[in-house]
Amino acid sequence: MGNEPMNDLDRLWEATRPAPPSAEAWDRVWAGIVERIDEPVPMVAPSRGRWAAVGLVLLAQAAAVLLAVGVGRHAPAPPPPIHVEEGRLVLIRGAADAVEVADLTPRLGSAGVDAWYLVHNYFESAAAGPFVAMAE
Amino acid sequence: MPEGPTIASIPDEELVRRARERDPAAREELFLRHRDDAFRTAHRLLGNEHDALDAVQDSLLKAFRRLDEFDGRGGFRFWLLRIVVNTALDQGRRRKRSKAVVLEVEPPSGSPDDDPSRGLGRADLRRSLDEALSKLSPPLRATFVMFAEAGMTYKEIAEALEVPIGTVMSRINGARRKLRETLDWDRLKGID
Repeated sequence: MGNEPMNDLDRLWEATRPAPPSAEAWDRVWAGIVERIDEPVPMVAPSRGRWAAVGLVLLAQAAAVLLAVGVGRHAPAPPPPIHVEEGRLVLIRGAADAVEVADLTPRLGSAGVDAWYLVHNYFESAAAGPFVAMAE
Repeated sequence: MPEGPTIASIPDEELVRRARERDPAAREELFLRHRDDAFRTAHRLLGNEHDALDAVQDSLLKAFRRLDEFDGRGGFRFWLLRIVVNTALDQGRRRKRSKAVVLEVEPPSGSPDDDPSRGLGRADLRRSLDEALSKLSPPLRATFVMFAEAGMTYKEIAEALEVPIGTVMSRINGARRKLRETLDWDRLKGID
């Protein structure tokens, strides 16, 4: 075994080398090869495990389609796109079925009012919706 | 008129070329040349002669049918042994090694190797080693058998298993260590 000095494991390995099969056994092996060597390679029928795997994949795909359809039916239609002009301070608040857009730009005025101050005030005065987004 | 070379003197590369053209003599010569290595490798992985012969037959069928895919790198022996290892591991997974199967194919009692006066018989030794081998994970077992039984180099094993050489070396060391730990050396003192 390798080029190392023989140790117990190497000696055990050498001592247990499989005995060669009989000539008859080899003849049977060769006959089996010759018999099948030029046969067309058989198509492997999927095993039960493979069928199960295929079934699972199909089920998962069907579930995904149903989920998408269900969500599509029951989900509210997406709101129309909101256009925000550059330089504007806008708060976008999502209500249950509608989107409320508040343009805070006029309140900024020219007196150097802090935008975050305005936004903070708006939050305090308005009922909190599911989410609020701001664009400037 | 000078005679052509006998088939036994024709190199593997030429035999492979002829085998691709379905030359039965070339196929048979490749079988005769490499069947022993293939058998010993499969036997170490599967633990019994019957399964090993099945694995050799399947492997040679695959090899002959896929000769067009063989690029010649490393030689036919290397390519065949690679197929043998994969086939044997696959077969082993399907059939699950069992002690009963191993016992079934051991040589009959009374063989000169099993002289009780010489300590443990060869069949006992082999059974012990087979059991220890079966406890190795498939990657460790395959790597160790390719090295120890098939005589493949680290580089060849790395290419065959598509792993870095360092992985091959660590697997071989790991397999040696685990085999040494698993085997009952007190019981195996009768090794010749």
